[in-house]
Amino acid sequence: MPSVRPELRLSPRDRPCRAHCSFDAAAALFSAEFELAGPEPAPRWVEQVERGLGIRARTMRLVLGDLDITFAPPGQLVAVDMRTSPTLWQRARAQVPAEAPALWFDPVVEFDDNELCVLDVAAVTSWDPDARALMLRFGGGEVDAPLRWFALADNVYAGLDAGARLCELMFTRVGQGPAPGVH
Amino acid sequence: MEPGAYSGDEDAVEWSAGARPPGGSDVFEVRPARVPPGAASIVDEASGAVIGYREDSGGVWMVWDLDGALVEIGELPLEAPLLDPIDLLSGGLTGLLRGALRGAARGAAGGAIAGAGRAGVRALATRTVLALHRVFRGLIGPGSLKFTATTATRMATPGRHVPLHILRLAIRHGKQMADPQGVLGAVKYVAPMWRNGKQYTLEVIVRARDSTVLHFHYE
Repeated sequence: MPSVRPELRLSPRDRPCRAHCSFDAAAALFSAEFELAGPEPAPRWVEQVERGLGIRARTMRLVLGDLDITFAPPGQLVAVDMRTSPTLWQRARAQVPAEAPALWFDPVVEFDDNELCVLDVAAVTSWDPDARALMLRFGGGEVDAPLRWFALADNVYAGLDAGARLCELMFTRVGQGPAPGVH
Repeated sequence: MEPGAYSGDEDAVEWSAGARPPGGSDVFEVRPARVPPGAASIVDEASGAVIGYREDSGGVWMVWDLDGALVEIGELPLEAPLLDPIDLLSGGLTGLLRGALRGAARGAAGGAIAGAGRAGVRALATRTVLALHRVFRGLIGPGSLKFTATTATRMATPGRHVPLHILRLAIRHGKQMADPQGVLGAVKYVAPMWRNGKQYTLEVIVRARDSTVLHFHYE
């Protein structure tokens, strides 16, 4: 199982996106649901044909250690899950980026026949109770702070290193219990 | 209040979809330990689900259900020789050639089934199919397994969905252990799972007091 942080291919995000982030202590599960706002773009011709034939839209999964990221290519995030316990979290002050371009990312990794890629990447989890921010620093303590940040949603940020590899994910406005509005 | 201080329990919800993933045709499997590793999966054409296993070995065939119970055992029929002297007597050289072609076709068909590792239900007796279906229906029907709002959402997400009967089979046949995250009353089940012939490890975390799936994940 490869243990390299994934390189990300970035693409502009032209629709507002918000993530419903929550931590459910009863299940020890952090989850984020991504919701796009604004008008739905007209489906492309290929999408129309595939819908007509009953072919489902592709959904891919990238597993980074304990983190499970589901997204629809190219780069549209659907959900993030991670089983975690607050006893393992470090206290830290979230440095929420003042300016971060709105982008999606496509990981440059090899997916298997079932559209799944598993990378054995360790992560350190930190929590800022004031900002209600959960931060995941990939690669443990050996990785430097991210060089640049971009916004995956209004309240979710990704930090990259010089080689465009994922260093950190930051989820702000994390609520408690099940994500609101999903059921 | 910190997230860790949250003390409420999520409401449990029922999940009632069948074996097929949302909008897909993927084939999932969790094999009971009693089924030999080389046994071919029996796929139900209507649901697209694996409903049993069959192995032909040592002159007998055996069929197991999803619980790993041996449903039926029988003797394989005697096969005609590749070149039957009767072909020569009845048709001369043409008859001999016909017999050889018949033998080659039989060999190719057998090889195709073994290579694919799957078998359809058509080759089975009706009573065998009914017995396999009875166990399968018991696994996909309404039962005690419930879901949280999050896991119910994941069940409806293509790419994350795992059929209900596969989760139940993992709980039934998987390795049971304490929840590594230390959730009180939660049990973790781990089982090898196949999706479209590729092997993964499926983990299911269940709250024991009300059989609610707190999390499931495969990689």
